[in-house]
Amino acid sequence: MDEKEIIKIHNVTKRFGGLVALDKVTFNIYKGEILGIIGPNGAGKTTLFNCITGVYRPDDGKIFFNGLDITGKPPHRITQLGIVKTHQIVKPFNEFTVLENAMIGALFGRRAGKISKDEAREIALKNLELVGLIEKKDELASGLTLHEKKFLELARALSAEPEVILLDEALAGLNPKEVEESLDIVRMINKELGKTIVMVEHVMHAVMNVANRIVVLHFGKLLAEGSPKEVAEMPEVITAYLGDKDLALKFVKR
Amino acid sequence: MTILTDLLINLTSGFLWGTVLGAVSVGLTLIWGVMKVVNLAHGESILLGAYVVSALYLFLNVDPLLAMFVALVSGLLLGFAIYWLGLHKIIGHVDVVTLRIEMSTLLEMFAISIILYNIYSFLTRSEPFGIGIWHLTPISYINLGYMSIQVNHLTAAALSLVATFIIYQFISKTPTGKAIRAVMQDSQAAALVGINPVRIKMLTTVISIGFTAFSGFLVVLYESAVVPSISYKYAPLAFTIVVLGGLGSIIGSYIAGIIIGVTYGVSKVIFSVLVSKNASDPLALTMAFIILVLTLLLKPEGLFGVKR
Ligand SMILES: Nc1ncnc2c1ncn2[C@@H]1O[C@H](COP(=O)(O)OP(=O)(O)OP(=O)(O)O)[C@@H](O)[C@H]1O
Ligand SMILES: [Mg+2]
Repeated sequence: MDEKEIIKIHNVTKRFGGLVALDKVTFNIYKGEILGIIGPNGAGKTTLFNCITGVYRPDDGKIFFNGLDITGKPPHRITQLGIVKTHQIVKPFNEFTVLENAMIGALFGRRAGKISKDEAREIALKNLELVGLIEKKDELASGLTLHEKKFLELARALSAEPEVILLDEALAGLNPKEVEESLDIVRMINKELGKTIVMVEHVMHAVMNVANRIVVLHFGKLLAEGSPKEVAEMPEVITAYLGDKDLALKFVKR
Repeated sequence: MTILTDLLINLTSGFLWGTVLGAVSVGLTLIWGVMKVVNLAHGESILLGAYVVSALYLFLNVDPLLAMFVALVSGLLLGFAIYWLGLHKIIGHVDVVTLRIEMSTLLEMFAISIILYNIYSFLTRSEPFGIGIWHLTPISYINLGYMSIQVNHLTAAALSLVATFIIYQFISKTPTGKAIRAVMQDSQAAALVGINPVRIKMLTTVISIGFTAFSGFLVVLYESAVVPSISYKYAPLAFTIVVLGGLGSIIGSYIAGIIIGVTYGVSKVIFSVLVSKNASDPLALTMAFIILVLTLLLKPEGLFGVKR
């Protein structure tokens, strides 16, 4: 991990009516890191992802990607620039096969318009192999289990050939063995493919383990930022979120 | 004439008419499935193609087989106009489809339908207008033994099959077609894989209305001439067919069109025996709508639709 920022989030505010979902949030995401974002329900984590990917336009503040101002750009432009996300509530295209799902990521991703169908298929197959779905490539996405659908979303996201992948609760609802498998894949994508990864996660020991850095959101505000160990020891984080210091440190140790 | 030959005749002509009905419904199923826009101007979009071909033939002596491409282009242009004048400001900004938006687009399309209807009525004085006795081959009828068939009906059936096959290949095989189907399933998820949903929706409107205008050529080929009020016959049938075939399914629409055509033919024979010859036509048309009600009750997603 070098210290070059890839995404800069500057003073971002997002309101829904009277509710301030994000309140002047500022932090950087660095190239090559795995950044964990934690925070209680309703803290604004998904909203932050939606602002980065252009689903919502921030009411105030700016977001930069590789120095380019991407605030308010439409989602498809941001995907093509190189930021993709997987959804908290999985959204594969159920009427497409597994392979078609992954291919559509490649066809309309970073190389949209410049990629042949054969190349797209090759990329899709490679990523399905990586997430372990290659055997199901001709099945309809609707028939997959939740766990497999999450992996399919990951393969589709990877097929866009992004620089940054945002994972919104990719581990929620998985059993411990599936969580371990997923973490191995996340590490692999980060180390071997060199992708920057930002993961929103409630499965605490998992983020604390896999992330290089943690950002804590609380009621739309940035509460803390630092290494997993630093964050777990901050008194304000413990009271706001982790509750019990011993428990918090236990998470980091696992 | 025995009932059996009567049945055979009506089965054949019902089938041929059904292929036209199928093609007429393809554009409707696309715009409805992808954009959730209920195109109340569907009948008038059909008429556009029918009138363009007939006017070119009558006034400029253009061969209808050539004029059908002009009909297609006129539909593409109408689709473009409808999208940018009527739909974009409603659809372009809001991604989540709510009932409120469906209501506004519905009213937009209703307004467009009334405007077009009145233009047609004014220009044609509501008189029948069409290609008359033009036909493709030197002979105008083919004798099958038990009946003779109009060459134009066969031509319409053949062209409907070719055109539907082409648009089906486009939607299922090309990247743009895949993008259309992705937007149909989930517009927001499509945007997040890099598809521009606004562009796809514009394209869908253009293609749908274009194909519909082309199908208007098939209608005038089948009917010889049209009057504005013929839209009240074809549009409701097309809605029934789209529901029966399954929203967004091209193959479904084509097959459902044939089912409705055959049902019409067969029930016409049955009703002329059971009731009277005069009453058989409206009663047979009513059967189509009984099928609509039964579909909604028993298989709401349609024959080829996907349960959502
Ligand atoms: N489209 C929306 N309209 C109105 N309010 C919204 C909308 N999206 C989110 N909110 C509100 O904004 C706040 C932040 O929501 P968000 O989904 O970002 O939280 P989160 O941190 O992802 O929570 P969770 O852990 O439950 O996923 C919540 O109070 C939520 O109700
Ligand atoms: Mg969330």
